[in-house]
Amino acid sequence: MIRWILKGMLRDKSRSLFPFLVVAVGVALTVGLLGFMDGVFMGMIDMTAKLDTGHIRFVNKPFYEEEHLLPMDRALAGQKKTLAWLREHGDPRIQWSPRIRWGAIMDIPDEEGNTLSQTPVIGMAVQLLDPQSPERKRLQLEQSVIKGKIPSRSKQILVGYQLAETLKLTIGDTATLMGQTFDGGLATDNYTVSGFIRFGVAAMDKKMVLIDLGDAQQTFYMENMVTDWLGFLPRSVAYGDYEKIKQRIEQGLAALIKNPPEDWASDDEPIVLSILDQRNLGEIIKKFELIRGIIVMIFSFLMVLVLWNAGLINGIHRYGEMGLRLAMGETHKALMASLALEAFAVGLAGAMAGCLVGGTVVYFLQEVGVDMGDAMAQSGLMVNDVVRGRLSVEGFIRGIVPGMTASVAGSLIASLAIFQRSEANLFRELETG
Amino acid sequence: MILDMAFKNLIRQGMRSLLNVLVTALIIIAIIFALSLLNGFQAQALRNMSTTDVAGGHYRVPGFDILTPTEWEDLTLPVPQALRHLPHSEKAEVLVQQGQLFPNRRLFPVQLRGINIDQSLLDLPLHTLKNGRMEIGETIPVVLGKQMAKKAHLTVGDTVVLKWRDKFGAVDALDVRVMDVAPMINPRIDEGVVWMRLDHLRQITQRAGEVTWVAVKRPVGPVAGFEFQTVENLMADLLTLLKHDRRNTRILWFFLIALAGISVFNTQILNVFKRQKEIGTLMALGMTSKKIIRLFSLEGILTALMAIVAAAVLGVPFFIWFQGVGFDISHLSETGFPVREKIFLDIKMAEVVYSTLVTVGIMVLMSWLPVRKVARLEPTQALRGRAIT
Amino acid sequence: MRNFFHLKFYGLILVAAVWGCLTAPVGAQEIDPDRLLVEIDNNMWSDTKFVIGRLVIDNGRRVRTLGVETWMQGVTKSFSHYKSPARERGTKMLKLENKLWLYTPQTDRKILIAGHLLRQSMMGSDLSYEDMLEDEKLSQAYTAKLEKTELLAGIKTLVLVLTARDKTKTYQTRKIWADPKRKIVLREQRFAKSGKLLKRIDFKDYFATGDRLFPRRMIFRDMLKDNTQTTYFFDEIKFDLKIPPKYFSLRILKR
Repeated sequence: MIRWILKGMLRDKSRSLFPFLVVAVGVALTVGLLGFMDGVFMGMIDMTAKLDTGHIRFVNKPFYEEEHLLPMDRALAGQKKTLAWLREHGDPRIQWSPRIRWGAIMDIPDEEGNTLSQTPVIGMAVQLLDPQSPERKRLQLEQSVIKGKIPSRSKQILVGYQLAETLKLTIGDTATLMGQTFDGGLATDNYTVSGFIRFGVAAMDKKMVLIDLGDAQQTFYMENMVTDWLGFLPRSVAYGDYEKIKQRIEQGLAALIKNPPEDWASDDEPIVLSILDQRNLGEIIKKFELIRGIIVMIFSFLMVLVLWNAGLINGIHRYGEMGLRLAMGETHKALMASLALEAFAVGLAGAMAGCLVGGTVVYFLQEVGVDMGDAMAQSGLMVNDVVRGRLSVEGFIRGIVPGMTASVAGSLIASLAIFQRSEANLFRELETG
Repeated sequence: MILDMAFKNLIRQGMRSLLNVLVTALIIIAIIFALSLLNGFQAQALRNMSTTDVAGGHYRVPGFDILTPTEWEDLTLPVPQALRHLPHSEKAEVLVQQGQLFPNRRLFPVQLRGINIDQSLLDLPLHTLKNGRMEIGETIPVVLGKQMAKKAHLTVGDTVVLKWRDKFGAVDALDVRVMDVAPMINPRIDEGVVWMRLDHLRQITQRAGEVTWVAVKRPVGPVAGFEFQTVENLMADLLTLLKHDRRNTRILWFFLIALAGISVFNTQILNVFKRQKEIGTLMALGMTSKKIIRLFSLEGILTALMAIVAAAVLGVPFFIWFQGVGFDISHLSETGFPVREKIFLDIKMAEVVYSTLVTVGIMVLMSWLPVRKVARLEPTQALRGRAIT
Repeated sequence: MRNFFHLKFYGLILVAAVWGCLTAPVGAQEIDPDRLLVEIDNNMWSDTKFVIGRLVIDNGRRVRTLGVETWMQGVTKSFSHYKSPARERGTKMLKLENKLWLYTPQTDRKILIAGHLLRQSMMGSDLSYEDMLEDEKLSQAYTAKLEKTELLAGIKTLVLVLTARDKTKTYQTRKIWADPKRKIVLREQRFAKSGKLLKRIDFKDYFATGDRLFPRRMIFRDMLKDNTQTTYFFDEIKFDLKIPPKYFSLRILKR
């Protein structure tokens, strides 16, 4: 019997191919849409995360409370031990990235080494030098460095491109940083300008510079110290899970504070923050979810209508066949069941195919992205033209469920008609087609 | 005649046609809604920037850069003659200086922003300053934005030491009293900013009659000694961000249209497939394949046209309702977007026409594509229902 | 930051010296405050001076000690060379007129400290390069007025209110607690124009060196902040010595 149905389905394109295609495209569109929307939002989160907050941030409370002053003296020591602890107590999916936020005066010398110009800069120190460093990819340095190169040797500096313009810098120039050491002393050091970086946000393009973490530790006498531990989770981890991941780290924190690494200062008190705790992103996410909910609802509703219609159309065109089958002695119920089964099978296959297609596209967007921008447009690390996606189980479910139920419901509603019409009537439709 | 036939065919398909009409109509509504909401959001973001800070542009002291506080003190000038006569409703004089606040006896570098209290060009929640006197007493009255107050741990009524330099470099300090913690709908004038009366700031820094910039309602041509910053210049960052939003909305639009297209496409393809006999009969009766294609396409076009009517019937009341309620996005302001309150739709007629046309166009295309093959049908085969398998 | 050191010499700090004990005791009323100021300046200033000292900076959490040697000529020239700790060793600072250059071995460069950089707060304290650059004697920059007499640490002092002669002076008002007998200052307060107290300097443990009196240490406090203080210890001091001109040449700013 099942083979018979299967054969029938495969031979009749209108029974298999068209509904299959409609469900597949519908599901693919839904998965794609959700993936795209999540991607846009995750993109926004990620931009903030990459340079500022991480997905999870482990930071000394006194530093965090006076963040606007960049109090480097409240950095957290014991880099290696802290990292070991974080790896042990944090979620294994987290990639921990040590950073130093710093501020200094950048002094540009003339040929004789006398001061030519000076300006205060805000800096971030990240692990730049190792070509394998995940930070290079994370900060999209390949794309964001618009002139010159990513630092490859010690004491090289990346300068925001507008800052470079203001100071009339060229690649290879010396830039002296003058700031405070960890313990409040004078820190001075020479750097070589290796490249100009575009963040895409004027405030950063005009004021920000990037140096290697090891260099910063040397310049500011912060050996084995960092101001921030930023934890990065893969794109596949939903932001809804950040809170749980954060709490897991917090559980072990009390014990750590009670028995801290010996390098820590006595009043050091690290705290764990998720990105949602910072820059008010938590509230924004709630708003985003609301908007997404509305869009998904509208879209699902439309998809249900489309699939229902497709089921209806496909069903109606088979009235003749139904008449024939009824005439041959199949009961109404059996017929309905077989139709439902058929619709279910087609819906399932369509949903699978849709997931596959939609999922592949979203996966591609997630991993590679598509650059929609024109080359001249203002874009950079923080704002860019690359469309991203994000694959999630939820996206699939939200695609599959309406995709399948609607097509099954559509054909069932269409087949309800067989109860209302006589076999003869249905049979006649076979003739007129 | 074809029109008549097409219309009758459509009506006879009942539910199926209705669903297609409905879907297309809803998609038109959804697209207009999304675009207009975004317009509304952008308009509001720009308006808020404009009403709180940018106005119609700034006449600034040349070289002034809000990102370089160390130079603020060097970059002030007396109000230029050309702007002096403008009424308060058309200009706002602003003086920006560096200061140091000491909440909890800890240093907090701030921007002191003095604004002429009589101006009505910018809409700022500074009415508590207006009631004060011109003379400075024991304390200087100031207003802080909510974010700033939170960061500095200050509330209404608190006094805190403020230190600054006067024009000649002498150091000065006095307590300031927080008269109000006001919601600033534009975060750029909230974080790190201490608002005070222009006359107070001029008085304490010995800069009588001086400004950093004058915001104007509309440019008044070149002003000697000052450079004009256009609205676009002053909002460049925001405009870039909004451009990205617009692109994302377009992609959303693509998804919606693709869905509607699929629906119509499916209907048409099944129509052609299942109505072969009808097509064959029509051909046998002498109708050319071109005419038949026109007939079927017309069915699609009629669907789209009915969708426009349906969209108007369903959409207009919805839009009217929505305009009454608005969409609350108050939390966005804390992240850098100068939007705080509710946003409303900003429906642009050109956009409505454009998106409706594109939607209808795609629907028509989708109803035409599947019926092209009718042209290749053998009437005899079609009559028997065996032309397409 | 090592420039703290300069503070003392350039009028940041008043050091009083006594011209012997020849002065007969006089009542407060009979003293001309401006004259007392001149006498105080005369005790502190000489043509040239050489100091070996230590700056102890306490930011509330950490205490750092810098060793520094300083050569001075008049009020406009000074050169300091930092000797310890290891990471500060070799740092040099040269002041000529109203310009300040910084040399550090790490950079092997002369960095000009000028303009608004002079106001930069250094070492987490509120003392700035500008504070170190003051290049006028108190008696030249301020007019004095007697406010009252007061017992300070058991010593009868005259409290003088100093008002700046020039409105460009960073501190428009200061107060000093002067010992009229020994012509020294025991305490100084610096005020904002509004009258708010900003800084306090205590001069401790005066000792005789040659015909002058000099404090062993000076303690600086920022009155707007909690828990910070900087102490300057004078371990060795020589007056009127001969300083080779190379000390006040930009060429000295190298390794």
